[in-house]
Amino acid sequence: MTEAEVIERIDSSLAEEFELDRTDMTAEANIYEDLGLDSLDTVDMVIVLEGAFDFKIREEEAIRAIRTLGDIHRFVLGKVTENS
Amino acid sequence: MQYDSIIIGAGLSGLTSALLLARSGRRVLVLEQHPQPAPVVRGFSRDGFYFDSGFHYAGGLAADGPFRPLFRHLGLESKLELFPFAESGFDRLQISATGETFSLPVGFAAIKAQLGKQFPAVQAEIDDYLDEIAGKWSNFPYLNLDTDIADFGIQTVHGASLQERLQVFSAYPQLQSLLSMHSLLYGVTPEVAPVSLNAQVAGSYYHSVHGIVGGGRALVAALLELLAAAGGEVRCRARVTELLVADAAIKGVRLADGEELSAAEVLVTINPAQLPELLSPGVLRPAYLKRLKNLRQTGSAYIIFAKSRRPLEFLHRSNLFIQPQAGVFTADTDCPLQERPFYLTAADQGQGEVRGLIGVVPAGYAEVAEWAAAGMRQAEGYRAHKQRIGEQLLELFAANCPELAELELLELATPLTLRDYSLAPAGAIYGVGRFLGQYNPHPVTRLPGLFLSGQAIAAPGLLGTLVAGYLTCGSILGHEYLRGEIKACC
Repeated sequence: MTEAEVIERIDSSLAEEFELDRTDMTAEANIYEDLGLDSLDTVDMVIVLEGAFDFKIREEEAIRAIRTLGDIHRFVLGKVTENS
Repeated sequence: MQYDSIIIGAGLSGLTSALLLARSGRRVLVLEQHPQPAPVVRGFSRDGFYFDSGFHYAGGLAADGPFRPLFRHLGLESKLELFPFAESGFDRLQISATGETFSLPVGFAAIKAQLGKQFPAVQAEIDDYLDEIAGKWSNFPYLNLDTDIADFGIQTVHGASLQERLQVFSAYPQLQSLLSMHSLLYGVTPEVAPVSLNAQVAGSYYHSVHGIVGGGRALVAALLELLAAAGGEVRCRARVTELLVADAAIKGVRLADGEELSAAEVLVTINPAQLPELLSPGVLRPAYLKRLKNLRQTGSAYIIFAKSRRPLEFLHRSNLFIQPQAGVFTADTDCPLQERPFYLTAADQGQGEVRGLIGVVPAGYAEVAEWAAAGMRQAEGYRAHKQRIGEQLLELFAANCPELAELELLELATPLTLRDYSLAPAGAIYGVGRFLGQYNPHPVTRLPGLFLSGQAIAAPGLLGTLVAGYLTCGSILGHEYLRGEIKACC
């Protein structure tokens, strides 16, 4: 999968599962302030990403550090590279 | 009608939550769709015998047990009479293939000493394992009144499975059996069960083991009395069909007959997989709804209720687990009944002679699925199936225990019975399980005023369901407030 394909899969999964507007989903968008997620959504986000990429996420610190959509892209790209 | 809090489900978590909220000054109503409260736990009588159907024994209730303060805080301590299980062997294991038997005595130190005597080569590993279990179980929120209550625990859903943890004992399959047999009491096979789940259930029993005189029926009666005294109401035959939402917050519920009841808080204690059906589209996000629907459920079982012509002294205050071959337990149902492990306990053993027997054997829903449709439980084929299963199980019990040669079958619960009483998908005996890698739901939802409780959010059993009530009410009333009240009772 290319980097662009990974990013597209992340964005489309999150848009569908969290009913987000794709036009708001820039890499700089803060997932809490701009996209309206809250701490209760974090687990749902982990489950959506696990389902979309068929991997398990155990990196609690990295997940807690996520602030922007770009952070999610970088985190998932790192895991995809690691697993390939 | 206007309430502060409506609780859906009059099971142990629902009644516990109702009691805690009513005592905090709220006007509370519990709605139960069955004709009587706590249909799973209240048990039933047949032929003059009382049988428990949901509660058998509880761990951690000794005078110094971490569960005792919750019992006292709720007011159950003074309403119920507890009796201890046998010190020398509250649970026993029998391996069918060899006829070997083993006992677990009460108390971590006694278990270490006994297992060390039987398996001296691994005494150090046994000690390490039991220390780990002791540490984990007593650190459970509300048993440890100071532990952090994590709202997001990646670490807690990953980690070693019970099966992996017991690999250290692979040269001693009987020891693996003894340390994994309690998996039958939480319905998750050790291959996918977190060690922490086993700690929460088995660890509480390792600490101390009690029954309640009068069983689940007495427990439910006590909770109902306490709730009535606190001003809480319970309404049965009241099936909720919809959660009402306005201005992005919960507003109440609608019942099957169209009646609407309003409340600022609604606590849902039913199987969380069924919550999405109660909500209009768009109230909660697809990610959350899918997560609830996809929660993995525990397996199901046949539960036999029989009477013995002879007293069942050998089961008095001492349960028996039977396993075909030694090794880590499985609850595999892709095999004949004769090859499955099972659990035997005496009915109504709080007082007098014991002659009622309860046997629990893992079962797959597929075994009864052809009669799953409404009304099919009256079908001739289903009755014949039950008759056949009942006879096979009585034979199996007698083949393993000569003491059980003179049993008469009174009732047999199947996965369909469990489905209808607990309303769990596929008759899941312990509802949603705690599986490795699975995030069980949090008591707080994104919809203001909507909360979840029940064993899915904590653990099964009396301990798990009561703790779930505290976790949910702590999320509403403040954990520090509730824990402060409990500390004042210690």
